[in-house]
Amino acid sequence: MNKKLAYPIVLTLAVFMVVARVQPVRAQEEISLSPPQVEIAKKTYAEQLDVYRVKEQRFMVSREQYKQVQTLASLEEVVKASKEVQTARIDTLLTYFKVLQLTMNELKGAELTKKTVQLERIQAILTELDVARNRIANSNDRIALDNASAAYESRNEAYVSAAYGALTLIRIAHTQTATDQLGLLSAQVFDTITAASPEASVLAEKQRGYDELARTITQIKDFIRQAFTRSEGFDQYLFTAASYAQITDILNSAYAKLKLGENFVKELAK
Amino acid sequence: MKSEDQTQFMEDQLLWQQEAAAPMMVSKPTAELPITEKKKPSIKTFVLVGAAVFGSLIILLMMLMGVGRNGLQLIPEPSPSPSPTLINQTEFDKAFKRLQNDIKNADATVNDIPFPPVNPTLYIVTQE
Repeated sequence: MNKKLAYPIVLTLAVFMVVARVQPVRAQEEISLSPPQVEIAKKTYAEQLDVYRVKEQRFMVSREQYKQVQTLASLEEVVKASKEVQTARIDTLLTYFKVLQLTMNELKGAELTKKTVQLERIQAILTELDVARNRIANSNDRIALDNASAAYESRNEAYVSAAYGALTLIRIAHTQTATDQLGLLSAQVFDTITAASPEASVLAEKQRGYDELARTITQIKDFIRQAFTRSEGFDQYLFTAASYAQITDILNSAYAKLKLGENFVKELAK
Repeated sequence: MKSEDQTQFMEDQLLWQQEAAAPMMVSKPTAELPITEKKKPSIKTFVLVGAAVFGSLIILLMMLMGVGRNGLQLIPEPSPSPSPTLINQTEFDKAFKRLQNDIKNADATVNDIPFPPVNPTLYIVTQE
């Protein structure tokens, strides 16, 4: 009686415990579905940019023709071309900001608050662009289309600012991630060397190498800090390609040191 | 009214009409088998069953509470802390490859997603 009863009980308990242990879906770093999505979005973006360029060229030709001949037929042509090019422009931007959104979503090494702010800005812009697209779709004459174009122009600076703000954060985060990995690997290598108990002279040499590597990492961290401080100094709503260039100048120095660190750690592991 | 020990006339008649029969042979092993009383479940069994049911309920309750609180959302798992550990050659090669990739991504001169070069002034009639 006891045995007959005990087996199912133990089995039930075991099943419950396994289910209870397995139930939460954990977000591990390795599980990432985004990279293919980013790549697909980048490809779509490149295609849409090509389409936009063709439409822009066609619009310029139509506009020039309308200026010269000033006929209703040429006006019809340029209105149609304007609608097409403005739609293509919005589509290009929509995909571009989706690429940025996907990149930001899987970004490691970025401060969470900063990342959230950037993602919220991108989301707001995506919503705004959707509205703009609908407006263009409902515009059928010269006045309405030029008004839609004016609305876009008034917002272009905000779009550029959001894009370069996000790109700056992405650059800083990538440098931070590489620095963290360099620090971790160099410590692992040195610990392994120490654990192997080499001769005193070899250990002293490795110690000097490790110290130099540690100094290099400190310098990289300093560059990251400078880049971060500089980015904080800019008005986040007036961020431009020039501001971004200033940040990347600083990060280039960090990158040079990272390359140096890469060589050092490889040498240290020999 | 018929009392418990009262014998009816018909029953008496039937009883006396029956021939006397030899006692039935009962196989010895069966006959000698001791009559065992059906055991009542012991306290140990009660405790075991009780503990199992109680444990199952607790686990079920915890699971339900967990689902209720978190839904089916992803529970972020903290990144492994960068505590140095000993590594062998294979692990080093793998980690070094990752480092190289991370450093490649950190190249600030490469920007494969600059802001699209779109014309912000696409007017049919030039705005003044």
